[in-house]
Amino acid sequence: MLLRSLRLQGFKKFKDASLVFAKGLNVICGPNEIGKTTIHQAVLTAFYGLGARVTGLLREDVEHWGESGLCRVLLEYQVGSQLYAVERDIKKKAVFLKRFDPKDHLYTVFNEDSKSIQSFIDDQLGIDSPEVFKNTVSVNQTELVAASENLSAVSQNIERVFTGRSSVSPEEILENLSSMRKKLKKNRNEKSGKIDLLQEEYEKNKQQLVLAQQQEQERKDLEARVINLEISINASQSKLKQLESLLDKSRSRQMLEKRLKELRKQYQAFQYRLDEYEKALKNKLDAQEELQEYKGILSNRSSIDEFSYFSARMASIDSALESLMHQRVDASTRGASLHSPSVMRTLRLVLFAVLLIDFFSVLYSLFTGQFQVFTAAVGIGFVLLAALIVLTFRERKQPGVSDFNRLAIERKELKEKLDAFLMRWGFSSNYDYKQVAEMVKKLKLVDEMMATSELQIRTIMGSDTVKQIEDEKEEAALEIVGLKQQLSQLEGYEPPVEQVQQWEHEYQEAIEQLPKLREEMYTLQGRIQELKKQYTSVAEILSQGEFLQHAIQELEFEHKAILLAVDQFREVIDNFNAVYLPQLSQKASEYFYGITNGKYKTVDLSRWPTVAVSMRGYEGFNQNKTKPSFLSKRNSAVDDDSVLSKKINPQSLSQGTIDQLYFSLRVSASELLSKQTPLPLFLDDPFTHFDKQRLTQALKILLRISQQHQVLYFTHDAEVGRVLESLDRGSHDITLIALE
Amino acid sequence: MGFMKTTLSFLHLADLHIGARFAFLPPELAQLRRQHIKDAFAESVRIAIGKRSESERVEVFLISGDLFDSANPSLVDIAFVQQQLRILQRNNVSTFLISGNHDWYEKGNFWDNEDFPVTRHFTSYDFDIYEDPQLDLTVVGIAFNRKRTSVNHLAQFDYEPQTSRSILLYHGAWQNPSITFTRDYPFKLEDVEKLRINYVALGHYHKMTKLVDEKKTKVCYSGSIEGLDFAVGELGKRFIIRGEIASNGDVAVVPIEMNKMEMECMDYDCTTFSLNHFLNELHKSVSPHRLLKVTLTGVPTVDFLMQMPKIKEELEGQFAYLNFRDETLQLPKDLPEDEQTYLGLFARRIRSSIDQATDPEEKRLLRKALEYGLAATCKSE
Repeated sequence: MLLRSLRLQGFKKFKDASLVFAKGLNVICGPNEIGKTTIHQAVLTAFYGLGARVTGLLREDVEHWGESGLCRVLLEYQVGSQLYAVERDIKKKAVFLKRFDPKDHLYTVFNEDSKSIQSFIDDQLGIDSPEVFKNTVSVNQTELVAASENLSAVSQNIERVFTGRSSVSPEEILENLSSMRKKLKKNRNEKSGKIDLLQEEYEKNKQQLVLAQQQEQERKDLEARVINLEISINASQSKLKQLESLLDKSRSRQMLEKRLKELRKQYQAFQYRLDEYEKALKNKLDAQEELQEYKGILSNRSSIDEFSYFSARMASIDSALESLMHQRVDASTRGASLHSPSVMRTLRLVLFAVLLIDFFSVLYSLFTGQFQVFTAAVGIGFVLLAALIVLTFRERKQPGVSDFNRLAIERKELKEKLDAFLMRWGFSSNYDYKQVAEMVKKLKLVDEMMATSELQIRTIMGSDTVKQIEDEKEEAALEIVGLKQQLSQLEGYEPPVEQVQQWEHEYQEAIEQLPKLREEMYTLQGRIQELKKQYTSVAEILSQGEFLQHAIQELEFEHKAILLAVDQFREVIDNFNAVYLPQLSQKASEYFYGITNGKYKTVDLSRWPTVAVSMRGYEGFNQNKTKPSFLSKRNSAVDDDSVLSKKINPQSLSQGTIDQLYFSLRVSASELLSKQTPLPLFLDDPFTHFDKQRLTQALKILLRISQQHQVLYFTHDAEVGRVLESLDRGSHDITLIALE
Repeated sequence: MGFMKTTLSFLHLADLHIGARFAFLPPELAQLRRQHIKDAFAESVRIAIGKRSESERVEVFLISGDLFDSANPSLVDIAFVQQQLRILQRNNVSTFLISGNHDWYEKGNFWDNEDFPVTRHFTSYDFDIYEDPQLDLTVVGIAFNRKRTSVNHLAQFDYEPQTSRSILLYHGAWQNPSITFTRDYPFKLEDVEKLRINYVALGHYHKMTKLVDEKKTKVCYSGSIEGLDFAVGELGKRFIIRGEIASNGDVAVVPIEMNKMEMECMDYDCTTFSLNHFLNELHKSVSPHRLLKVTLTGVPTVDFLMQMPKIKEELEGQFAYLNFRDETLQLPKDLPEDEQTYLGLFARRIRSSIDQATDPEEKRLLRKALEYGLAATCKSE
């Protein structure tokens, strides 16, 4: 492709300016700020239209503020032998494309919409994107400076060209991706990314959830237990009440009965005392009444005993006299012989005589030895002796007349004494001492009875009075009536004893249980309060967890996308190395061979990004020997002997050769990018910092290149012109355009 | 001044949704938003009792349902509401309360079990009438019942108040032409127009709306007090309504702005608008009090995708919350698939992978990978 002419109307500084370009090397020379960059931008605008992305220009930057009111760019270019003219009217936002027919000297206007025109131009250029086009055709100062510093920068620069857009190397792209990845998720030994942080938070959330769920469960359990406790406390209380009333009833019944028994006993005791008292009192009164009869005797109480003695003596004398009298009567009636003392004496003498005879009989028998006579005699002796003794005593007992007399005398004395007593006591002479003695005896009995009654009364009554006892008895009677009434109310209520015992047992249990239950309930309620204070809603934690999970999921997706992008990009690089590098190597070798006048034959990219050159001819890209991977280590050991023998150590290359190498690669890359369309090269003062020698070298390279590519070389350096004039132009076309 | 005395003023709130989950927000922010709702409620109470300005003090405080977000609110939230209601009680503000479809009334639920110190909590599922001769005011209310939600109660409601001022509390869905059926106590405009009530305090719709604006009758939704999500009704400013009813029944209402943060949505069509336009719009709405949800639709350009990560990173932290929702599913039209560059190769690879992929999720992942690849070709700072 050749650019033929450029016309700027109202475009930036240019009111209306025309430039004509030739084949070969065009050196556009002018001082700084004259508008060299504008021309570059204008060409881009002509091909791709206006836009911040293409030229970094906005409409307001471009429009000329002159009167013409026009703002357009007109570019004539040649593809093959065909001549075209593209016109961009910025004011009207329009694009026109015409084709010049040299035969008719006529322009054919493309009657298409702007999109079709654009795609037609894109096809002509072989590049769709203005950025890529710009990167491909423009060679700027920094690029060359970097490339000349070391050889590895050469490959980097070429890679940048191949990135197309904002000259980022694939390495940088991968680095960018990796830093994006790091922001999301760490690898080992890296700082935590967003996902890691969220994950941590999520873990915490899970723990919180477990805790909260536990707490909630605990609270629920506790609340249920409290309810149960409340129920059992209530039940306990009501049971207690029930038992209380049951027990009260049975207890009161027992008590009432007991009391009633007691009272009845008391009442009986009182009654008994009263009865006894009455009896004793009657006795006493009777005795008292009886004693009234013995007033006289009683007035001389002290002589009663003496009287009694005398009367008793009198009675014994009387009886003795009487018996004496009887004896005398008996004797007279039964016969005096037997009982007369003379008979008795005679009898005794007879007996005595017999006894003596018997005695001699004994002695005789003893001397004669007549044992039988001896025994009979002794026996008769004893009988006689006994009879003699009886007779003797009988005779002695017989009272005599003297006794009778003595008794009669004593009786007379006693009678006098007793009469004296009777007189003293006021008894008439009618009263016999015997009667009185009887009376005294009776009196003594009554007296005794009186004393006994009094003692009885004292024993029965003690210190109480009859009134008191009666009152007490009355009280007891009243109480008994009351108790009986109460008992009648409990009529029919007679639980068995075992039942009552059971109740009592239960009651005791309940009484003991109740405070325990209450305490437990208070404890539980306290714990519930505590739990409520530190309450975090499970639902809330769950929703937080869901959020985190969702957020993590979303970021994980992004992370996955980044990893995928990295993978894809690596494959892209592998692909590039496999497909583009051999083409680039071949093309660059051709250029390099030409530029160096055949000194070097091969640009070897098989160990990309290491660039090697060799004197040998290009033998193709040996896939077996290379690992066309971007990831293959830079400057890895070169072990190919056959190549090594003729290989040049890149470090030993001169600056000039490196420039040659760079341009070879650069131009080749441009051709590759434009799909073999030889696009013009725009050089924006790239050699400013070169010394004259290197500049000369560079210009020589440009001249070589300009045989295949039109070169637009913008410079402010007038020196360039002079150097070019000094060069052997040969067949090279050089056009000098001076900007004013 | 005589006129002033006979004017009854009220504050109308609804749909506070205390305890709302805000599950779409990060936990801390969700917590903050919940607090905002409570703060707004407390602020309403402060306004009612004249703490903010004596002139704003009201006699009547109306809550038209959905005070709580659920019928099983947390104890903390209940305690908070009870405390606020007690403040009203202490300051002699008559408070009237109905339950809504979220915090419906049921025998034995929290409304029943907890003590809410209000003048009247309408718990009947039929219209219940409260008369205050001292204020010369009738308040009618109806509790929301979960079971018979599709009944139009207002259609049958024909009541002539005996006092010169009247208020109705109702939680239900207005059936405007766009919504024809709902189970949430629906009613039609004509149902409220025929009411002989001075002020109908509605709840349920979250956007403040004046349905009827007559001299002697006003029917209003006060809307939610803080935006609860990114639904249309929740966006922008939030209000409570302060109103006055004169003794002759004339009503005047003024909305009072309440929200601490605004929910906003921004839909951006990448096909139609340029990246610059988009950035300008975003920068214009930057505010630390704004929760913004950006939805991207259409077909983005390569440039757009390249810039997105940087833009997101830049804007993060400038909003209270920023959510980018990417609904652009197509590949950019200007994908450099023809280029002989790395990017061209990359684009081609992704394109062919997407074409081969059958799983939509895989396609989505590849699309995302493309975005990252494109973004990675931007020079890092």
